[in-house]
Amino acid sequence: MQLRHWRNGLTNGLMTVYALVTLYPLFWLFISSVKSNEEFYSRPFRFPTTWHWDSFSRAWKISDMGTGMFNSVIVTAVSLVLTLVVGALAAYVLSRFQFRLKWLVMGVFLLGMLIPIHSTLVPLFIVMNKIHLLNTYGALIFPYAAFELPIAIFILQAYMNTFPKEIEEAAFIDGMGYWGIFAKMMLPLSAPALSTVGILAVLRFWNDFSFALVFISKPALKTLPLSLSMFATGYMTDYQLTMAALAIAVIPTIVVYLIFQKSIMQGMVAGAVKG
Amino acid sequence: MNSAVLKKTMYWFVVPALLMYLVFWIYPILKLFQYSISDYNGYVQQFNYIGFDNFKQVFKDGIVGTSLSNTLIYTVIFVVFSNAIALGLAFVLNMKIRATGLYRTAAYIPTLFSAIVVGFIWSYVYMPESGLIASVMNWLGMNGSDLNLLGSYGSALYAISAVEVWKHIGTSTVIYLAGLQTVPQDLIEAGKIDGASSWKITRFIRIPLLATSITINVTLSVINGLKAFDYPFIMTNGGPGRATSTLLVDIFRMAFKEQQFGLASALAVISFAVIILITTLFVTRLNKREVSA
Repeated sequence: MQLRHWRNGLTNGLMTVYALVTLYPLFWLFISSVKSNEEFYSRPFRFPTTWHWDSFSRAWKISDMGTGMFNSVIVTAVSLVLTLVVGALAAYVLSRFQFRLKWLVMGVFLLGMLIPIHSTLVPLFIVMNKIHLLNTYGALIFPYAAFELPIAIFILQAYMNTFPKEIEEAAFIDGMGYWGIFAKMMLPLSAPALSTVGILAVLRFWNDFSFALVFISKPALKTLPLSLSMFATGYMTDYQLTMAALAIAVIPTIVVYLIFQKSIMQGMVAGAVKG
Repeated sequence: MNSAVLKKTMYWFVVPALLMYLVFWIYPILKLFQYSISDYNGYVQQFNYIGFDNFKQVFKDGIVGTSLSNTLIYTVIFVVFSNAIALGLAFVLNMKIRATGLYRTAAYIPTLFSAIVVGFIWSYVYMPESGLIASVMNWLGMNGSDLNLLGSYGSALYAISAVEVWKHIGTSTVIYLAGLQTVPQDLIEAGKIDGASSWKITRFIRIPLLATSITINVTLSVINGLKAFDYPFIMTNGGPGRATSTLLVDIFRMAFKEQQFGLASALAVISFAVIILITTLFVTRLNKREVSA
């Protein structure tokens, strides 16, 4: 009993240290963002004597984060819809039909999960340049959706496999067309799988840095990670400002996580297991 | 058996996915091999095929050597530490201790941030003189101003791989935790009745049954480590010198800063081969060790 007590204490102690290592940098980020640069040096662990809330609005303006947010929302939303619709269409056929070339189609998608996406950056840049897609929303939307398709198709197909085929036959007898069956039955029935795919996709699209860096150079089209990257050149020493910009980027993510905590966790597990 | 009512015309449903996938995924991969044996600069549409000169050059310049060894060190650190910590964390979270929710949130929050945010935050944590670590050292009475983790040859690579570990522990933990929760309770009960200690139950029942989760996590982290780009690019830009130049950082530099698309493609082909080779090796090796309940 004594030993057990001691061990629990040790575990709790270690966990507290772990939580501290993870969460303290974030807390430090928030307090530093409202601190003057002098106090950043002189009082690193204390709350500021005067709270400089204006750093948030300055950071927002200087890095043009409004534009960044707007572009990120557009790119993420369109890529998400594209991934879900195109992925669900393909998954539906793959779960419902047996055909001769099915192994080939499945194999091509499976291969995509093994190929490291980043090795395509160079040739993809050249292809984009040729079809005049560089510096458009399309330069991000199409690759994002294409790279997310394999995992989307595998998760959705596995889920749709569990539906009995009688439901389609019943709907068909009731006079529904193929598109009706797909849109009014298959999509709503697949909602749990769609949300898993959606969570994985949104996290990846919203946070992507390398593709945006290579394919977007026009300021008006910069996504949020790109508008943050401007702080690396020139503003890095203005701690207050940079930290405020980071805080602005971090807060929505934390809020969204706290709201959708449960489904995000489930989505992560399902995605990883299937992947 | 195919459904009685669905028509073959529905095969068209696959076409958009296949088309997008081929244009933006498979076709670029094929082009990569073509460019790797050319002197293409990405802008002038005329180029010559120069055989294996690009490959010879990246080997001769020692680019492959450094960036490959940097990438491998980065990957090994990342795989070992993120999996060991995540596994430990999953065991703890699986026990009935207080504040599990808080710890889980703590483990999970970093995985949600973009690389640029995480890179910036850690640049400040590592910053000499007034960064978080330096401040803590000063507060403890040590001399924190001499500490320059990102700026010195010896430590930069380790410092950035620690960031990758910090960011990814949450993902691995969740997968291990899900795996642990599928371990049948009766097996553990049976072990207890046979007088096995809790260490033995862990070693001989839980860990073998976690093999699938271990395969998934190790494979995912190997892939993640080998494509290391974001942190070396954001935090150190491959430096100091070439201390943190990974394969992808070099590919990016050659292609988009030096306009040597051919050379960059050759390096990309090499890294492509390395990643595929190591990944398949891991998957087949680890799959063999899996057992089922």
